[in-house]
Amino acid sequence: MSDTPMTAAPPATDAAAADRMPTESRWAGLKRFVRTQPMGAVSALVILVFIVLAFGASMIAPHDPLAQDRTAILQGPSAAHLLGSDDLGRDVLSRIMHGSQISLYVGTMTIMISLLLGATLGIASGYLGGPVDAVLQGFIDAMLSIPPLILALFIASLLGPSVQNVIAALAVLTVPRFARIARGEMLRIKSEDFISAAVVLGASRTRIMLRHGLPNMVPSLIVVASLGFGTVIVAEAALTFLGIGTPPPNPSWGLMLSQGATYFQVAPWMIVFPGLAISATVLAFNLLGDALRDFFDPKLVR
Amino acid sequence: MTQPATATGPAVDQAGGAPLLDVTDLVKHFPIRRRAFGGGGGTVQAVDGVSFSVRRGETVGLVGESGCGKSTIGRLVLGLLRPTAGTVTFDGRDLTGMSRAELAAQRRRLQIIFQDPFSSLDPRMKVGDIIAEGLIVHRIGDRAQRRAAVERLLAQVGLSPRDATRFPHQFSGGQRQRIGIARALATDPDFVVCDEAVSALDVSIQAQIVNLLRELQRDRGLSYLFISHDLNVVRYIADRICVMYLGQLVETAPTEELFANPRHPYTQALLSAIPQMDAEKSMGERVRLTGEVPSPANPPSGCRFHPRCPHAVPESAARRPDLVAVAEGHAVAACPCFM
Repeated sequence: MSDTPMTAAPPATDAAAADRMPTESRWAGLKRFVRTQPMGAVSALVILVFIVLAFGASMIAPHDPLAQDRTAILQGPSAAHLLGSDDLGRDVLSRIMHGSQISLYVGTMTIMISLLLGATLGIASGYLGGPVDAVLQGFIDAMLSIPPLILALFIASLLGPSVQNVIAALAVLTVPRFARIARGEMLRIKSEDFISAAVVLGASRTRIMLRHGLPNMVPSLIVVASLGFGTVIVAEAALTFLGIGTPPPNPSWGLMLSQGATYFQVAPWMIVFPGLAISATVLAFNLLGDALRDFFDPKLVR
Repeated sequence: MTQPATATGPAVDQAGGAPLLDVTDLVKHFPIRRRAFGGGGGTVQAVDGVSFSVRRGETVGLVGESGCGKSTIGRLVLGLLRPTAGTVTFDGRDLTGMSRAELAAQRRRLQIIFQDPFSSLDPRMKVGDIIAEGLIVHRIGDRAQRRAAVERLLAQVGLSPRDATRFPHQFSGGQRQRIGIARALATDPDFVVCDEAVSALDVSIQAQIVNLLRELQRDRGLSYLFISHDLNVVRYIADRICVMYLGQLVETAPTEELFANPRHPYTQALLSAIPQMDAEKSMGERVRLTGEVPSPANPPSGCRFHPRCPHAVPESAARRPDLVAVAEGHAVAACPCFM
């Protein structure tokens, strides 16, 4: 039979495949992301700065974020305090830098917990179907019908103000989103022939969900995680602003807003700069999420 | 001469001992879901009382139009779907009554090759992992042995051992189909369902894959259930052909007998639709069918083909025709319009 041309063919396809096929080396993928999604790349850079600030705050920050200076109360931006000082004479810039730690910590923990829970629920719901699916979806629909911030307020006030409780409240809030996406993706993947092939090979349901389901929904989950990160940072700030989030004197962005609100007319820098920090970070996460979604969508022209 | 449809399997199957696969009175009805108002929907009678068998080393072709239930039969045979009624007996054991665990253990002996070479391979797994999956699942061999097995399989299907570390999208359609074949053969099955296995490929590649399938059958003594709408391909590979129309078998015969002496009007129409290179051969006696295939949710009474049959008589609609043997291994749904 005419097998020889087939075995001879691979070298030719090799070259062609390396050119434009989607599974490229990590480095090539990164380069293509920067080229096709410039906004996403800028956003990623902003987020990187945010992460560096969070980790290096104690070394980079010009002042101790908790040190009070009675001689410099409510001072505008100056050489000594680049972004001004607050009502207790603390350096706003240093507090914003340290505040990024809390935002990053709350965001990362919340997203990781809700990703783990939500993806597990969604994958099981989508693959197993039937009563499991009906019960889980009913539960998730009920959760989604409650206004998110009200729900978070309820949980946080029930648990009392602490960073851990904020994380718990926000995780409960974001689980349904991940569950929804994971379920939809699992339903899509389930209909593919390679799932039937795995069943025929005798693979267990757990193996199919973890080895075939999960890896094929990673792009979608990354997008939702990135968009979710922005929401979580805003929600943390909102909860703290309302006094049931991160307790003082921690330099949280939300706390800075709430304290600055009182002095808005005499010291607008107290509220403007932390507000800008929140906006910039959330915008960056949202733009990155959008860019990743476009990047992963095979239907869009590269 | 008339035999009830239930007895067809063994009756059609004269030579050579017990069949490897025996399908008896297989029925699959899908409920049509009606939500909210309007109460219960009907059912789609995708497969309605089909019996056939496959012997060791034999290739049985299953042909028919789109939507006639061919693929559903393939999935029922493999346990991907649970039948509404009827049995699938594989090597003397009833697969339909098995628990999930029992079925999983049998799975290494029954495999499938899919139509779509793009949907059938997990895009996030390397080719070597795809092929080795059956071995891992059934705990066959250690890591090194599995790698050796993958390389051997790749060579057998005409690919290079180096391809094990590449991803599916780096291959052409024909090459991907070869990977699918290697995966199906990894657990050393006895029986393989080829569900339109070459239909998505270019004609030149089709020939390569069909030849590969025949070679593998010769070397390993495989049995195939070859599902296809392409009569030319089926004629080339199948020992015996079952013709389906709207969820039922209308005719079954050894390949050459079927082509030489088709009895059922639907088989005749199907065969006359094959394009002929030789104008003399086609002789202008082409049977043209009018109308659409009726919905399997509401199939015609009696002989399901009667609304489109050029020879239909009033009695055709009255009673479902039984399969009767008309020659050695040749059975046909005996509609009053021709028998």
